[in-house]
This record gives sequence, structure tokens and C-alpha cells, in this order.
Amino acid sequence: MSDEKNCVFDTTPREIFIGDTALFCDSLKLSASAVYTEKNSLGGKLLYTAQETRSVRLAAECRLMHDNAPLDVFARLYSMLVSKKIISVSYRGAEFAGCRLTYLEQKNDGGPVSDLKIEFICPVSEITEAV
Amino acid sequence: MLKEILSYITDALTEAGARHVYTAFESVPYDRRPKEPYIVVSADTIETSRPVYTEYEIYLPFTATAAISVIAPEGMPLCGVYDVFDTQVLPATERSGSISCRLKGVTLKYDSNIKRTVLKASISVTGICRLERKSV
Repeated sequence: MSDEKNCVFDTTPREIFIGDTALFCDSLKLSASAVYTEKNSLGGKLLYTAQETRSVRLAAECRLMHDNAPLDVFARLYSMLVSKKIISVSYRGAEFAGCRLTYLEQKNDGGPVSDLKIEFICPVSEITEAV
Repeated sequence: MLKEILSYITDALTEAGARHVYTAFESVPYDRRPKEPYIVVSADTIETSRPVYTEYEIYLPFTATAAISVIAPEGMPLCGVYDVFDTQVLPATERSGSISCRLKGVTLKYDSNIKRTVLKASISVTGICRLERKSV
């Protein structure tokens, strides 16, 4: 324990960059999946005849503070969604280059804070991490 | 932050017509306080929740329980205490600016420490406090 500060971690949320839009991200969930095709042999043995890998799914949750224009961020992201634009997303040094926006949800309970959920898909080959 | 919350409430009370309003931060001796009903604003609890970050600022949501005490002078009839509560305290909770107030309960009792009858209203206060970020 030469330096007590080694025990302290900065827990403040970091920015997630979605194209040119920066948001403070409360949580980011990554998930990957694969689909196997199953067949049974004549002898009753289970065989996997094909495997398909799905894109990595990114689900980010952010909170927005807005006195005015509460739909500004949503509108910007929605235009990315409808235009099927391929965008770059980065978070804590990880780069997700070939992302497509698949889902947006904004919830406001009447106050100046909105919860925003954003989901992307990204091919595994497009993910890089800064070392 | 606590001072600001109490200040919002004292401002609202003053706007509602209260003449003698003190906060828990003011150390005016009781014997120098007015001989007519006066109000003391203090905080019983305060709790903050997960902050919202932006590029330059942090917004800190809070919930507090404020106590607005109407302190009656000796010999004042109870109807006078209730009148202060009804005409000054209740309207103040409805016009406290950017914080949101809700009346939780009222108690009336004799405080033997100061030898006065005290009507204490508990107010639930919610709002969001803006702080500047120290480093970006």
C-alpha cells in the first residue's frame, strides 16, 4: 500500500459517443449470441450442422437533463434510426465502428430529467479496444 | 445545499406575509425574538439520489423533510396559531418556486424548553440542485 489513492476508483459516469452526439451513460450492456442448427443422426446422436453468429447487441441507458427542448436528443437519434445510418459508438476506450441503431426509448415523468434507452447492433469484427 | 432549500422556504413564507421568519442557521436568542408569533424553518431529513451529469454541471436530485414551526407567544389563543398556519404557512408551500412542497403532517404541542406552544408542520420537499463540475 505505497499509495492510498490506488484504492480509489472514479465512479462518475462516462460519456458514450454516438456519432457526434455525446451522452453520459449510466449503464451499457453488451450481449452476443449464436444460433446452432441441430439434427439427429440415424443412430440418435445429436449433431450440429450449422452455426450462425449474431451481431453484438449494445444497450445503453442514459439520463438527460433538459430545461428546454426535451426531445432534441431523441430527434437526433431518431434521424439516425430512420436513415439506417452506420454510426460509430465509443465508450471508455472501446470503439464500435459499424453500429446500426435499432431501438430508442425516452421516458419522462414530468420533471426535467428523462431516461433514455438506446440499442444498437454491431458486427463483432467492427469492435476494437484501445490498450 | 441545505441553506438554499431553507432559503427557498423562508422566501416563500415572507411572500405569503410572514413577518418574523428564522432558519435553523440563525442563532438569534429566544429572548430576543419577537413577542408575537414567529416561524422557524429547519430540516429534519435530507437525502440525495443518483446525480445526472452533463458536460459542465452535475444535477443532484434531493428529497428533504423541512419543519416549519409556528411559535406562539405566551397567552396567545390557539386560534391565532392556526390562523398563522392557515394564512402564511399553507400558502407558502404552494408557491416555493423551483422546489416542490407537500404537507406531510401537523403537530401541536407545548415546548417546555422555550415555554411556548409550537405548531410544527412537516413538509416534504423535492427538487434538483445544480452544481458546477470541478474538472471536465
